[in-house]
Amino acid sequence: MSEMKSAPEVHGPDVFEYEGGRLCLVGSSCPQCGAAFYPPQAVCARCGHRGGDKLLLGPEGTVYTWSRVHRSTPEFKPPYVLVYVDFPQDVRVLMPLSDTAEPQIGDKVELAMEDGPRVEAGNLVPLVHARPVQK
Amino acid sequence: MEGVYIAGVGMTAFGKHPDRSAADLAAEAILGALDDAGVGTMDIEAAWVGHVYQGMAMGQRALGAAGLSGLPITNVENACSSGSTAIFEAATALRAGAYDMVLAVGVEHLSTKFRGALQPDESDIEAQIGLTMPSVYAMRARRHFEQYGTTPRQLAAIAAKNKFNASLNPLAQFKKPISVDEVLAGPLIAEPLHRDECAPVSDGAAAVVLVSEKKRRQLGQARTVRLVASALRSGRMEVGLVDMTREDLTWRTALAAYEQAGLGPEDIQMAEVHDCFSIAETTRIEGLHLFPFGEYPKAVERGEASLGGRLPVNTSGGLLGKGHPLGATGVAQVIEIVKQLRGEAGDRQVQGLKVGLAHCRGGKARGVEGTACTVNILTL
Repeated sequence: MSEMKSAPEVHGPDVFEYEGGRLCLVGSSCPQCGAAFYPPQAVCARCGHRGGDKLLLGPEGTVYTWSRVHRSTPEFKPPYVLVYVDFPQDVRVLMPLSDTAEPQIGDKVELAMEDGPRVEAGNLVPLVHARPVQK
Repeated sequence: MEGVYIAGVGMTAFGKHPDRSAADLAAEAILGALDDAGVGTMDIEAAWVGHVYQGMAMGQRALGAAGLSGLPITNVENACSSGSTAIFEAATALRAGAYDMVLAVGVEHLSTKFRGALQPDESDIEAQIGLTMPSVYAMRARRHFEQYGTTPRQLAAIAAKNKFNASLNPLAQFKKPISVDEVLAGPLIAEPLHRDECAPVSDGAAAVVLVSEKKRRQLGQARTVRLVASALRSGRMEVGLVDMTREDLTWRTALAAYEQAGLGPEDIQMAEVHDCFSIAETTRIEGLHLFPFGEYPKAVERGEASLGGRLPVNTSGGLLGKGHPLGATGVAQVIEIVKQLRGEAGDRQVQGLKVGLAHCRGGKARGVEGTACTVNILTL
């Protein structure tokens, strides 16, 4: 991977990619020890190797834990639900859930671009969300 | 660890102090600690001052207000562990033989800086998605429910215990006990955590005078308490899908402290731990190996962590009851252990106490379980 930022913009185009028509997050894996990361790591946090290979996360994962947030800072519009999603690529990522219905630990989710919960100039900002997969 | 002793302690009441500056609060704590040690400003050789949101050179402003200047002053920022990191740095310098008498101070005037939920630094990728500190711990609580059958009522019992202890502490922010039902009837901040399960916004300051073995003998003080361990660690980058209910950072820090002290979890008779949230007290205590994983909330319900219980936890009221002026918190925890060991804790005195532990950790950055953690162990 040529250009790796240590702190990518969560809204920026380098955070996600479509594969087979389905949304994935762009992470990295260490070519030396295989440790996987999101966002991509320029230096492996496990073995110290410099540089990483691109690793797509998704298109589905499972809910590890969640919370419905009622009090936040002025940049966000509560209530919103946050979930930690475990991807099969061995990486856990925080995302908003695409609706405020109660998820269950272990629920299957896919990635979707949706509005919120962040607000800029009065408008909800599009972000990669986790969306429950219909059972 | 080479002989390091706490010769004097001082702190302000914690709470909202809209009419006082951070430097003014710090000066009260510093002068209180000097008086308690029976020493003067000119006796202090160096100082470390912990704070988080107080801006440039808070340490110099704080010490200046107490009439101390010209000495080596180091400002310490380590999130909620800033004050306890100041103690760690002071103890490390004494241990190295650099000084014989130093100050560690913590101060925060938070009510003028924040309202509502604290967040990780705004550049943090998870903060940009909407992660707040309450939601970090709410999601850990959800896992504790899932893995161990912990209930909201058991977590609420932790908040009720600490608010009761605070009602016995004249310097605490909360003066009134609160029932488990009242905790559960309060507003939700981040599900499943209610308002009284979250530490309040607080102002306050705390200071301790630390001395070497040589200085302790010179002072001839009978009331000195020995700091037998002082350990600091930072969170490791998490690789893979780790168990969020187990605090690797707390355990690694505790292990270092237990080794320094030549003691183990079974020797600890009371603990002040970083209960920024009800679930946090749980994962700290379990991470310190003071109770088996998954068992602590049930033990609290049975009264085992209350005053008079098997292992009293947060007798000061903790962050939930005493208040949480970030930089001051870690110093105030150590002060509670010192007062308990000296038998000066009034209505909340633990009887027959010989060994106490103070645990402080805080902050959040993406990829690490926590930012900074300290464990200090004190004995008579």
